[in-house]
Amino acid sequence: MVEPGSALTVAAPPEQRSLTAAQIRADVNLIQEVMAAVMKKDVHFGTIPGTLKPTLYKPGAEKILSTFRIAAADPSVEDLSSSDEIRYRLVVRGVHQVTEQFLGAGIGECSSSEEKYRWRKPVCPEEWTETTEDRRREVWKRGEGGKPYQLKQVRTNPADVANTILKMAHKRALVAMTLVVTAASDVFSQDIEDLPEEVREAVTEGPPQASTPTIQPPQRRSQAAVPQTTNGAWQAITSKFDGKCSGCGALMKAGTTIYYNRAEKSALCVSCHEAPTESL
Amino acid sequence: MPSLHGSEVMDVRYGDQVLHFNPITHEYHLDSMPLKSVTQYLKESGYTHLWNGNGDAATIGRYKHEATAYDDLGVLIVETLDPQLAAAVALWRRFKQEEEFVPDLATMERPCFHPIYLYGGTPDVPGTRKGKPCVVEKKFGLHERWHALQVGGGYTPMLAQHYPQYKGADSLLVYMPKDAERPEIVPVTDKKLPALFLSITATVNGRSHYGND
Repeated sequence: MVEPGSALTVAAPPEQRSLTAAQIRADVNLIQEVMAAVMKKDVHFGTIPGTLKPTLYKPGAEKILSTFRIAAADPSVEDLSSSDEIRYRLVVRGVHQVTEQFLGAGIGECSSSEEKYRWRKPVCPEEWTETTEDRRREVWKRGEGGKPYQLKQVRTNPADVANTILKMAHKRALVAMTLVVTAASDVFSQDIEDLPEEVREAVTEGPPQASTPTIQPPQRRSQAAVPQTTNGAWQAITSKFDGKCSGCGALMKAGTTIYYNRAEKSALCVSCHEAPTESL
Repeated sequence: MPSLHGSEVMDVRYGDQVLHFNPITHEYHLDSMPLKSVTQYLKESGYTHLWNGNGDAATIGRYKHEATAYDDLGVLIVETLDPQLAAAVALWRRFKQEEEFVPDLATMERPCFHPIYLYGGTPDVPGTRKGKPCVVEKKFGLHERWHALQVGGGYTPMLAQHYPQYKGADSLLVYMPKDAERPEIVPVTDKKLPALFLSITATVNGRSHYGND
């Protein structure tokens, strides 16, 4: 369990700043203890399918900062907005609450041109119809079970989302600062939740998975036990093991068709069986 | 079918050369030289469309291939066979019986290559039909214009290079779509197909060497 106000390794005097492996491990353990004792899954952190590490959410970042007595001080805001876009870039500084020592900073940016802020659902079908063509669209989305569907959208007024953009940029910077200052990137993943949906899918999905059909694949008996075509004493079978051809000495891999002579306990590759005297 | 070959790279010896076939990526290498496959040439030439149907249809088609191949090998467990696959197997059996088709187990589903024109491919099932050699390609979907090119232009001439019995053999497309009552047999008789296929390989090779201009 974490003791309130426990000493923070990174906030130690500069001469003691150089961390040993044991101290680094202790920090990571502390974060994990906090995760286990205080932080709730899906509230403070969550695991996004397809990612290996849990993702740190803003409430979780605040918990960690509180545990380590780190204050998010003096955010510097850079306004990069244009006439048709609201864009903020923030730098959040992490300062130890007791010593006021600067520990590190995190940067975050957000823009109203991001997919999730740029478009919204129309209030009614008439709104979509009456909106000029350059400010409306029909976009393909993925629904349940990955089935695509079309969605009508209209452009958002950037000013309507200005505060949201600012808050989101701050949140991103805060989470980034928390990960940097506490060296928690090895515990938590990048802030994937903030990625646009389409990008997030690309990050988390990986290569397309083979679909699972609703029918069972055909089953087959073990071929070695079942006589098939015979040519004299030779039986065509699918080899279960890697082996060598008794004729040419070639490697016959498991899964390939070979000819097996039970009496002689020897195996031939197809080439040798079909044309043992001539080279193909 | 690749699935019959498992998931590991398969080495097939042809004389002193070894053809490596990767059933996952469908890549062929003759010793260390990469070979394009018949279907790859047809795809790059624009004869096959890129849309492969939905994933389920493709997988079910693969299962039908497997089931009929297991049936040829005499190892299919029919008791547990899905009705959809059972229908395909019934059509395939009907074809074999009515056409007196005997699969050649030594060459069926065996990766092969053309030693002169250097392309690879895995014909479905060569064999004899009423005692006469023929190369059969099983199809479980709709007719496509490239099917004839695939078997008549690509596979049969390629097999004949290694197995003399298939020199001048008939090429046959056997369509067994869902809900069909009987298999539809389409003989591939156009003698110009091998030349047409070679012109396709030349075009595709030329494009990859010199660009599209």
